[in-house]
Amino acid sequence: MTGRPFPLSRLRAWVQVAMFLVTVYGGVVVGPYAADKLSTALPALSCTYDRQNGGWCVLRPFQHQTSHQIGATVARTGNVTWELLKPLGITLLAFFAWFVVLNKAFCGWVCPLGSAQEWLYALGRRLRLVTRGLPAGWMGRVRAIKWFILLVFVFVLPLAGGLGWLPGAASEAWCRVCPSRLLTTLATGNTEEMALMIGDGWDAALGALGYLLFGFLVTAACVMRQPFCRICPLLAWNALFKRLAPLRLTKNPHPRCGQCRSCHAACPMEIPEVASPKAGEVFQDDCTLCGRCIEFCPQEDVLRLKLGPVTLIHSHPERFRAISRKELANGDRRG
Amino acid sequence: MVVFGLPVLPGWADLPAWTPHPLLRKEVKGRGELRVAPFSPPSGELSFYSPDPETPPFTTTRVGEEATLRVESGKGNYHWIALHRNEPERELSLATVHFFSLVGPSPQAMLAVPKSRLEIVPSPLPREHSVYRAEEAWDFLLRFDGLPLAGQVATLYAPGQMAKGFRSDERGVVHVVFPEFSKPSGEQKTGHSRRPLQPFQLGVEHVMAGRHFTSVFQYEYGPAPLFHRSPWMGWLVTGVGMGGGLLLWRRGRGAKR
Repeated sequence: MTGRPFPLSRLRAWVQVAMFLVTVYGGVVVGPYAADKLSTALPALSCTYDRQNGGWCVLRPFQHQTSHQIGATVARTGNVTWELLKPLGITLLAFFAWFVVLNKAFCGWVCPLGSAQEWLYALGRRLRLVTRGLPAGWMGRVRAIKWFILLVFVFVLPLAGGLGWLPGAASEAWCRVCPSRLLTTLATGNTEEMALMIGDGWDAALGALGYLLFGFLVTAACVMRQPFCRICPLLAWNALFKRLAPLRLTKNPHPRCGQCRSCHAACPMEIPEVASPKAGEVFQDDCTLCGRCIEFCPQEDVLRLKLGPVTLIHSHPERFRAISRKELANGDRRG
Repeated sequence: MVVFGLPVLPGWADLPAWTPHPLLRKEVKGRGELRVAPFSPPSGELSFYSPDPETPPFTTTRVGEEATLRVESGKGNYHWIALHRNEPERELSLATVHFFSLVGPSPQAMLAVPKSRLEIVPSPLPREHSVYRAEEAWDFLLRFDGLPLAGQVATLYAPGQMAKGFRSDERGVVHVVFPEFSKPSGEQKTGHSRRPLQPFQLGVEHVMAGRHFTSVFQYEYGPAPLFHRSPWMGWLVTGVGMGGGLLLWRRGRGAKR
């Protein structure tokens, strides 16, 4: 490596700030109609509950179409046809148009809730609070939660709502729970979403679950990295397609892999497999392509962020030394 | 009852009492289909304006009859629907919009083009999943021959509410605060979020060279933002969640410095 190593963390920090501004406040700049257009064009950005934002989350149309398009039509006609799945397919294609560019980097670089959790953790480090990781043996169980949420809250409950088996609140079950809705609306100064819906038992129960989760993550994120990302259904959805996009994390194992575990310590998602000597295990479902493991790997060319055959960035002792002068792998600043 | 000097015709006895203007009745037939019926004396023509500037407006040829509008994917979003009626000394424009939940162009170009001499232009229209709501202020532009109409009073009518006037500023903009929501009535329907909606009309009149112009914008509004919601419950439960997270701040088992 010649010259100064490319400052990936700094670039990511600026991208996160910029994308937070775009996804949460973008509508103020481009106007409400263009925000709607952006919402259509960028289906995996912020939240449709924001009244002035520049995007919405792909989980919203999935619930909407599962409930209103599939569930309600089946309830009315009693027929299940392929035609009913067409809107879901179109949403999937629209989602994939951007996913093929970003892969799961959406989570690590764009998601406003992911960024907010990182900022809260940085605040916790400034305040010299304790840090906590997942207790040993919990990783597998916690990883399963996001799949459960994706299946039940994004598809099963909305379908049951559309079929008329459950009250209407179930038709947008995940949106009622999602803490990102609360964060991004609060960030625009809108406190309306913080008011609990008390329409019926489902309204209140789903809403209460959301507020509990939101409150928990606000304080937990100060001492634990990315507490919500670990159970986020959007991460699960992205993970489903991670092999279909060219951007990915790869590993060329080194004999010392698994010994220093610096990459594992740097990973905001605490993915133990990133330190594994097995190359095939490195790009896990939980990986958000943030690139911190690459920066904190002290060996040359072991970890790489690749776009198809092109290496965008790779680990290097110089890069490791440069970032280690500023911060520890766990996020603590030096000095 | 007299509407624009015309006697009430048979079948008009049930014209709602909350507005002095005629009404447009919309019936959603599907995601891309809408039936519109003028609930007014059978004179005037219905016109449909697409948000796509390339699509010319469609006007019904048989005056006073209902019409069905079908749009295809890629041509959805807001459409402007207007009933125009010209009489020797009077001109009426009764307009409403309908949001087709299909991908389509922004309605900006559609709103910018004058569609009648006197008109009320929402600026902006609510986003998809959003509605006008009681206690909220929304802007509407009053325009005559395409130019802002300053100092004119627009009157808001809604079921169960006193008519209320709003004067336009120098830019021709009226800041309309939607009134309280009436108790459930036959005028209400349920919106996308299962919240009730009820109609409103915003009307303005203007006289130019002895000719009387009336423009009415008709749409729906919902109850106030905190309808069936409890702020303190929301904050309380959030506080409980925060308390749970604070337990992780304790030094002790599993905590690292």
